[in-house]
Amino acid sequence: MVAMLSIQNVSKTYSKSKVKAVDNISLEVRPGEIFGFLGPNGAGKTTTIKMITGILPIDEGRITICGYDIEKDPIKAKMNIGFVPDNHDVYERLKGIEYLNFIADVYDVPTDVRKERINKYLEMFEMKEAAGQQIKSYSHGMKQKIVVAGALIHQPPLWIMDEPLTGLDPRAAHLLKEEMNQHCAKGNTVFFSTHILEVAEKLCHRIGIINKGKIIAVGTIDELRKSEDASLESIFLSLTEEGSAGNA
Amino acid sequence: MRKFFSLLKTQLNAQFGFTNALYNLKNDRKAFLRGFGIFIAVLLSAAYFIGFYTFFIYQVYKGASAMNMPHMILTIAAICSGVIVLIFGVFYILGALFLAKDTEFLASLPIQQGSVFMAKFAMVLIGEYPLAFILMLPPVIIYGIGMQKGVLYYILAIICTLFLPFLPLVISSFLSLVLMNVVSRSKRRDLIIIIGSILMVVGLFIAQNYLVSMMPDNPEDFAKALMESSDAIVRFMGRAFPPSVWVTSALSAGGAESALNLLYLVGVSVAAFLIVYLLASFIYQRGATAQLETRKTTGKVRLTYKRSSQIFAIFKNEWLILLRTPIYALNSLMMIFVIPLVMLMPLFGGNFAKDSDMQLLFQLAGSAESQTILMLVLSGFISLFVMINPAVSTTFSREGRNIWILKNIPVKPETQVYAKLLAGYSVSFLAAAAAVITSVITFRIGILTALMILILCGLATIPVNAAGLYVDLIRPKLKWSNPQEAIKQNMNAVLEMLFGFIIISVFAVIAFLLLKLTTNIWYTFGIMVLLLAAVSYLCVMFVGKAAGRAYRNFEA
Repeated sequence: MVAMLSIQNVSKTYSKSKVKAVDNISLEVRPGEIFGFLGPNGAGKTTTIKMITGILPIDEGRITICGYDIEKDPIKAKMNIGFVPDNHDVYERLKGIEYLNFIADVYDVPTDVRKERINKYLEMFEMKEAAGQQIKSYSHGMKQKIVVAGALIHQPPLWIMDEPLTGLDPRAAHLLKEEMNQHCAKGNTVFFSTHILEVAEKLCHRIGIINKGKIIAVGTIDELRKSEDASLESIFLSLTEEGSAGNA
Repeated sequence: MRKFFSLLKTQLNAQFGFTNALYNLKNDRKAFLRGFGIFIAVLLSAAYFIGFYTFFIYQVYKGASAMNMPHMILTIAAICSGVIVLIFGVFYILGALFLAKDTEFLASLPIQQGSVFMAKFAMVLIGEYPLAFILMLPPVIIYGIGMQKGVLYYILAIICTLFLPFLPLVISSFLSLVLMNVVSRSKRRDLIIIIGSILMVVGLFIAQNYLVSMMPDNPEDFAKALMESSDAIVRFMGRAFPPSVWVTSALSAGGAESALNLLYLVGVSVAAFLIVYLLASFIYQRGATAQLETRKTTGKVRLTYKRSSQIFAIFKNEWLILLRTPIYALNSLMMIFVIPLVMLMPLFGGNFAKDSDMQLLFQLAGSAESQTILMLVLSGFISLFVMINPAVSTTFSREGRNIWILKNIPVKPETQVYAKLLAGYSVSFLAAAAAVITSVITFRIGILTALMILILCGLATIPVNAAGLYVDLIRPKLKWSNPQEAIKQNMNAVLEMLFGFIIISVFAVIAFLLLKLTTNIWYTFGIMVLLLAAVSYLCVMFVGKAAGRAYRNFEA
């Protein structure tokens, strides 16, 4: 079975720094999986996600999406991704509906299909009325909703989400988690980063923890547990502290 | 006052990037040298213009000295400086005071709105000084050497130059304050800002032209006035910008008259500033925060789901954002209005149209023999004007933090580059078309010649725009906190003008050589079209090929 997402020996150093932001990481995410990507601030989560989505070039190694190399075959690879970034930087002067149509255009979504999906997500996030207004008038959470709707509009098999729940109201967060579950039930994959460990614990089939640019643990919650009653929080704290002490 | 200086320091640092340059000097020598190299390239291109300007001023000085009016060059320079600051100051002030992204943050700080206004005003004023000094220094030095002036003269010249942009910026600030207060009461704010600013500039142009047209109709009266006093022409010219008369007298009259005129300049500038400062202390914040308020539509919203091709989707996106962001619209689309306005001036003035030189130009425009030269000259002239449009040379810079979208979407960088080039080029083409239509009205040129001019301009603009896009592709200014920085304080727009000037100059030489071979309009037109089309094709292909590598280097 082809992995939905395959990261092989990937490294990245920013031009203005000599420290590796991501240091020789390898990871495979399979179809039907919700994969949680955890790590402290500045650990390399967003850099990894930006390389997966083709936003940042890879210095060393290889990333494939549904078998397509993100560097060698970027268009096909990107067609299979729906990306939600950690910021809310979108075209603020566009109306919500214009942004969604723009995304649908570049992902080549037919008119009748986009109409159905746009309406579905606008209704789900209670954004139908706001869609006629410029994004600059939206609140933080509304911007997040429009970005999420844009990422899902072409129904890609792989969702890559960087802190997708941040800023969403409880109802919208609940609905998005439901969507993630349904998406994976159809054999698709969700790869997301979060700082909310409870969400990761309840939602994810597997979890990867990154610290100082290196993957320090990958597995199911049970596999990561060292004792029976350990919570994900204690696992996370002990692993990241070990990493810090080891590097000190 | 401490808060004012602290705010001014921060604003200047953010605008001119001193901290970033220092950081690069210490940590990233390559980036520093790259920035420094660009700065030197811009200085060198500026040196070319300064050389040309100095030569022009020197010629005027020689002529004016023969008429016993050498100080006229000071008046000319002061008028140029004042009028340019006045016309373009409206956009600078509007952008810095009201359309900046830091407005919300500044409104939350415990700083009086008057101080915020003053810091922003000072920032724009400092930004205007290079232009004021470039325009004033050559005539000041030529006149100083010629008239063997002492140190006091040069000190006075520096003081005058420092105060010269004051009054135009005060007027621009006043107009902007009024406009933004109207905007704060209206529903369609962005639209009113754009239309209001355009109307303000058009109004200033017309007012300026009206003042100039108030020169005596009768040449005999004018000659008589000249005979009576060597200052007559200065006073006549000074109507376009009264402080220019004060500057001229302060630097040339000597004694008490110099002191009195300097006092006029400083006194009026300071008084005018105080009035606007007082006004700003009451109404600045209301106007500044108007752009933060948004209108909510109520009732049923009609949503459309029309499908477009990838290239058209990006093209449409560019246009929508350009039209809806006032600072982008004003800087890019303004050329569509300004070029025709400049060309229509002779019709507004009344007297100018009756001028014997203008009559000769009308005759030339109508004669069959001069059509070839007319076609080439006007094409070059309009192309030079059109390249001032920064829509293409800032297209990636304007993306700012949204650049991740372009890097993430499944559209080839090559296709994106073509879409962006097409969008920016369409602005240039509209400006060229407006200028050509105006030249039909003003210079009474024939429709066929006008069509040929439009085709030549349309083609000549492609390599210029492609060069501008290439510059922005390889060194986009993506890190900015204020949209004005992306378009107005972007060196890429200057570099496009530099490349554009070189490209148009090369074609001007080709046209000149061609005219030596034949004056047949069809042959000349055909050869120029072929050459321009070939160069355009090569340039467009080149930027398309460069896109992939450049996209890799974009750091989102």
